[in-house]
Amino acid sequence: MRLEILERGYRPATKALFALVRLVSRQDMPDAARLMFYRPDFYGARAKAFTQEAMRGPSEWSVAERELMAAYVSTVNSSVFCVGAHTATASRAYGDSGLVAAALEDVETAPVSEPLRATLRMLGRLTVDGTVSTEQMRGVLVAGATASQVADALAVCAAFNLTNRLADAFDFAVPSAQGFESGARYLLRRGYR
Amino acid sequence: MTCGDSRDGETAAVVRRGGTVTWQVAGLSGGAQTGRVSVSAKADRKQAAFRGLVERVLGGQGQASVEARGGAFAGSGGIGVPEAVRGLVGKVAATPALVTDADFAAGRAAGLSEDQLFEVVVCAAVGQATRQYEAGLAALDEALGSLGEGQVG
Repeated sequence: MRLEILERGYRPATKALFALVRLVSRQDMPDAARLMFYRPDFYGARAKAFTQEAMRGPSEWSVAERELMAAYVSTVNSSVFCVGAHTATASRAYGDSGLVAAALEDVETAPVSEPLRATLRMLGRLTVDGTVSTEQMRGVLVAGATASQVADALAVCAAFNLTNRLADAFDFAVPSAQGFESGARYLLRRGYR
Repeated sequence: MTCGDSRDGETAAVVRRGGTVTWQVAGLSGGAQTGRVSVSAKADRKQAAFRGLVERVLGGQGQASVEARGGAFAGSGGIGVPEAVRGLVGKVAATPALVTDADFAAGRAAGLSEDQLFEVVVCAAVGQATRQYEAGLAALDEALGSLGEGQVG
């Protein structure tokens, strides 16, 4: 990562944890996770709490659908680390990597529900333009997404518009495909805590 | 309801009125740093958790000044951001993929510590995510108003 403190500035107990993870999983802890351990009182503790709520908290969206939203927002932002991490996680959550690939390639033709398609389209517009019109939002509701689903999707979008920026600014290392798979298993088993 | 939340001598004022939460970080030169997140009747833990993050990075203890963090949160034109890192802050908000080692080197050369750079980058990213989140929630409120909330969700 671009800051030395994010490479080596951790407390001894945290460094020991990183070493244990490497020993058990034979993968380095991803930089997205390492970041959360750096001065967690400033950023990591609250960022994890928000991301956990957005991605694993109560919602009418499934975990798979929210992971697809995360992958979609990351794709729109061209954030390489997050695209890899959440494409792998969404694919594993759906049990269908083809569906995820199709949605990321062209949301208009992907085999997803109309409420999800309209929601992804809106999240993409919000991510690119920084805003979304009332008319566009009304279209999402008319397509069948409930108000609480839209609010929940906006939380996912916020989490990844934030994380994508930190991934790119701090230059997170991009793991191997095996590393992404290992991370996906972890996120589905343990969440973002 | 209005409450003040003092941390380490800095103040983050949080106002809850009519379903909207506004925060204001005092002590900024040239004016206060403010933001808002609408909270619908179905106000949820997600929005509350996000507000907790915003309030912490803006108003809690840090190694960068409250002014620098607030300016970074506001974007490249924000007050309080040292000249040397305005480019970095602008890129984090608008084009994060274009951030380079040189952007961080400029901050170090101007005397910013690694922790100050860390905080400035985090605040810039949280600020942009906040603006997008607010814009989405505002559009949702307007769309619900135009349709009548009973017709949806």
